[in-house]
Amino acid sequence: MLEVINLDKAFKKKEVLKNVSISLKPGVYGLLGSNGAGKTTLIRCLVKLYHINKGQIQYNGVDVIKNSAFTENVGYLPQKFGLFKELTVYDNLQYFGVLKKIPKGSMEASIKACLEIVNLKDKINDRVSTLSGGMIRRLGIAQALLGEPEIIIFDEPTAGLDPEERLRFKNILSTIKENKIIVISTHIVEDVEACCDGLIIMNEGTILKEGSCGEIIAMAEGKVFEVKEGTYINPSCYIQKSYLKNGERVLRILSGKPVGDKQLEPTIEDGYMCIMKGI
Amino acid sequence: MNIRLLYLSFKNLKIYYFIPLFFLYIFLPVLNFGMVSMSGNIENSYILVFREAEKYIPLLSFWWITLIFKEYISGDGNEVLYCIDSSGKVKLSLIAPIFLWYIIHVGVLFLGYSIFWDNVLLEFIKTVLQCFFFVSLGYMLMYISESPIISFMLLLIYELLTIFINSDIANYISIFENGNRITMNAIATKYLGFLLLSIAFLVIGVYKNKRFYY
Amino acid sequence: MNTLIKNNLKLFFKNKYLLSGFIIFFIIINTYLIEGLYKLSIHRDAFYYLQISQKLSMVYFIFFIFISYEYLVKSKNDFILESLSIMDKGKLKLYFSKFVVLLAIMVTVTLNIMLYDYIAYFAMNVQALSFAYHIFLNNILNIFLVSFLGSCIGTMISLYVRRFPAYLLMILSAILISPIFEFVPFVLFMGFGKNIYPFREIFNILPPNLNWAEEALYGLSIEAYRWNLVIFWICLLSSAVLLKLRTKKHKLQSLVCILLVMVSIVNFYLYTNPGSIVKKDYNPKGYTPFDELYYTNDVQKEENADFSITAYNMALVIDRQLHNDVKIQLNEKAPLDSYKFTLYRNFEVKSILDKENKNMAFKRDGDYLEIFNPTSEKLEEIRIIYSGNSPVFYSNSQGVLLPGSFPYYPMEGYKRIYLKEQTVFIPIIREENIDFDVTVKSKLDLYSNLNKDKNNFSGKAQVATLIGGFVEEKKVGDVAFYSLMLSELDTGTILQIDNLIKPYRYLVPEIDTASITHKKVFQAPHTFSSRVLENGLISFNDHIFVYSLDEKTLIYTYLQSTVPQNFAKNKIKTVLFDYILDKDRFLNIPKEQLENFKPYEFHNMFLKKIDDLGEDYVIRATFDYLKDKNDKREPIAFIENLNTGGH
Repeated sequence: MLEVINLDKAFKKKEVLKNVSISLKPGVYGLLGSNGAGKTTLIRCLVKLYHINKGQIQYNGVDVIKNSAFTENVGYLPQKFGLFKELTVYDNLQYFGVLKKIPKGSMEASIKACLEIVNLKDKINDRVSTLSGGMIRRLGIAQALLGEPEIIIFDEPTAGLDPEERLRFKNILSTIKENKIIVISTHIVEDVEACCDGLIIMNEGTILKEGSCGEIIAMAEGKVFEVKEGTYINPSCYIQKSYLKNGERVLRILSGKPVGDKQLEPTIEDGYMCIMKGI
Repeated sequence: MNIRLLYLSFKNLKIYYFIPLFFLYIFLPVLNFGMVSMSGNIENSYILVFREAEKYIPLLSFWWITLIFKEYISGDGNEVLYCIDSSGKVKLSLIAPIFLWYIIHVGVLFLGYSIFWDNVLLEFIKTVLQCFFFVSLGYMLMYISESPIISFMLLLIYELLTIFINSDIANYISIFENGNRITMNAIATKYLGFLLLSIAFLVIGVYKNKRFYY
Repeated sequence: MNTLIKNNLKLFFKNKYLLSGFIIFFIIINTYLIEGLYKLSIHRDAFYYLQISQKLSMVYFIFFIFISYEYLVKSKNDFILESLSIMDKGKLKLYFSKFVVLLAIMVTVTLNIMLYDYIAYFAMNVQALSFAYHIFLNNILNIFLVSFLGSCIGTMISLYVRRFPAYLLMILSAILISPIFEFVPFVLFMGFGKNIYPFREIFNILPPNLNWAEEALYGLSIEAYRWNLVIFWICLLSSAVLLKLRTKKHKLQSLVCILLVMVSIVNFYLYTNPGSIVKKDYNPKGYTPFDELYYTNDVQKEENADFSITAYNMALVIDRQLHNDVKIQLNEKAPLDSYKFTLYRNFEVKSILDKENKNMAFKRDGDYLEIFNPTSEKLEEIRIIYSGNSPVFYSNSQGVLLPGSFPYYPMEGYKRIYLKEQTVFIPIIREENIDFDVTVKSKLDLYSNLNKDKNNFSGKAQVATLIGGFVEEKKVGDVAFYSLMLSELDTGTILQIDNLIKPYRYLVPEIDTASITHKKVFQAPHTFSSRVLENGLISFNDHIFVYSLDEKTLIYTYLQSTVPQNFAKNKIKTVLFDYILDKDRFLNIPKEQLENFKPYEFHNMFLKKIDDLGEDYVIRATFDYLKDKNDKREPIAFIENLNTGGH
């Protein structure tokens, strides 16, 4: 189990993480939050990239700072990935394999297995610089999977990817999630909807809510309404979206008080927005 | 340090890996032949040979580091290189073998020199110390400026200031002999001072390296 | 656009690597300049300060290549260009605004140097507006334009080349252009006979001569060819940058591109015709080797002319180099088949005409010119049209150093003009005065030993000397002294010269007060004193050259003017003057050195003769020997045979 206990992180005087505490068991977690919420900082603390000002991160009860082998158990895909572009796909992964101290004998098999998962096996001898943006992203995923780490952290893994690549990512996720702690940081709610067991919602450096998808959805229970466009809406309500229904434009509203006469089934996005907006 | 990592780092440089080798094994020897021919005999060319060598060899000691650390400092997703390596954030474990590999090549060149000139061992020690100074200064500047190429630029400016601009301060901070025959005394005094300075740069470099992601 | 520029300026200074690079650069240059100011209190030479400040040119060049690259490549890496390329002139606007930021930094750091230069100028109380302007031009050419070119290189590389080759290109261009590579062409030339100088010259945009002694008459090198070279590169690279950024539908941008290429070509053409330049490097065509290499071979001739010259009528044009249209009046005893002259070999003769303007055949052999008389009559007059330059004795719009002892105009007969053992020029001094009428077209205010009337110089003299640049005429008592503004001397000794000569009057009774004050005194610039025999201490009937105004130099120069120029007698002349001007030093030469050291051979013999025959007798006899042009004895023969009553 990975536990973050009362974590504080500040850059000079700017506090970015304030008293963050979460605990993660094997499963897939979505780390949701708006831009600047502190997701990347939290992730970088988790992978020991950042020095923490206060608090502790423990893995299986041991402080990760004192556990030098911890990093070998972590796979990390940063927001941008495009290193060693002049190497072949195989050599590129080999580079990370060496850094992760994968034994020489099992290196080739590990690399091929990862490439199989991310569907890049046919590109094994291609230079990275010749791959498309989506392929480089998958190579980054392969790099994170290398060495079969117990913890895998993806920072904005689907940013800038087309729908097909996003779907492919979800498939990869379902292939690898067995007995692993996987954290996916994103601000795209629909990405986590299908594949996450739990969600962590962050805002301004604090954890607003941690729970299962059901628990997040429950936060919007009885707060989602549909009204026709033009209906008077209280300014405290939040318009989630607008769409056409039976030739009429209608609005999906989040509100603490009933609006109109049609209540809707909530989604994760509704729950997320209710938490974020304090509805 | 894993040799495989070094090999892959060099492989990523493609043809640009060979630039220092071109200077060490082709450019300088050709130039040296010219100097011998110009000076009339081998002994007379001693000063010229080692004066020219120190213009190129220390500066080029930072070439591979510049290109390799482009990935570590400004590559997309470079943070992954600082968190998956269990040996930690400090990249001395990569710089040291690059430096050693370069010094081996310099050693081969100087081995060649030793056939023709005496005092080559001292010249070699001087050159190694100059390379070490450049590498540690470059390493420090690289993590201060967060750009390997700006660091290279500052090394180039240092060389120009100390070799080609005659100023008291420049002479005082110059690690070059600039046409003087190296002596044991100079190694034990001036170069010992520079060695200590290089170590200080290295320590500052390590500190800045640790705080690169902090 | 203003907002864009402001934002880009903020971005520059918020960027860690650009800011740290800039701060370190700023500290380095200011430390260096402040150290220079500190030393100014010791050497008190504003010109020298300018020279050392311009050395920073190479630092600026390298800084702007790298900084421009790093600053501009970010736009490319962050894919800003992609989004901007769909906007009208989007890319161009972005790059333009970023370039304006770089330009602002360039201007600031140029003004930084200029400020120090002017502090030195005012602190040293130079009081020469021409030098103030010279400071400005130097900073524009060597600092601003060189930085601008560095920026152009950085910008172009950031647009065209990917990272690794970009790094390689930047570093190689920095090494190639900087002095690091300076020695390579020299080694290739001297070691293998391979001349790559012409290839390297085109990259030679940094100011030359900065590690050589100052040339106070000339100032620093800002010749037209250097402007042409920098403008050539700037226009060429700017057009390449514009080509990459332009949008095809904008015809104006294409037009500007073409225009830049055209300006670049014109400047390249002009660069290939540099004319007279002062470039003190080891280029075989340059200041030192051009003559040194040529005269190593036995190419010099000596032959007296069968005619004499009675007058010169010269029409000189001095622009990038010297052009002369000279009419020479001849005095021939009988018609000659050919007429032999000495004219420095780098002056190319275009045509030679007789008095009826008919072309005459001629043969050029190095410094020697033989003109064939097509008739069987006396020629009486010859007109020679030629142009060219000497890498040592310059003549261009920046400076003129044309001593009359140097054959920049045809001199009768074949003369040896260079002493290869000492790598110096031998002054040629005609004994008798002849008529000169010289008209000069030049941007400079020239001075001469001849009488000046605007741009015309005339009078009777042995030679015609022309000097121009940082020189001014001063009246010191009754003596006209031509002083180098940037290397001023204390003129007190000139006022005392009459008294100083007095002790030697017994040797040179012909020197009277009038003959002293009649002589114009020219302060010799460094080139002259270092590249002319006997440190350039030359005495003519009407003028002298001195590098210093200390008593001994001045007395020596005046005394030797009474002795005919005879290179063969030089050794004994040196010993004689050494003795009479610095007797104490002479007598203190250790005995073992006198007896065993070859250069003291004459000193030793001279001293022995003094011991044997008496000082007064030996001095007088030696002086007579030097004065007697019919005495053709070798100095060694003279001194060996020197006996009482028998010299």
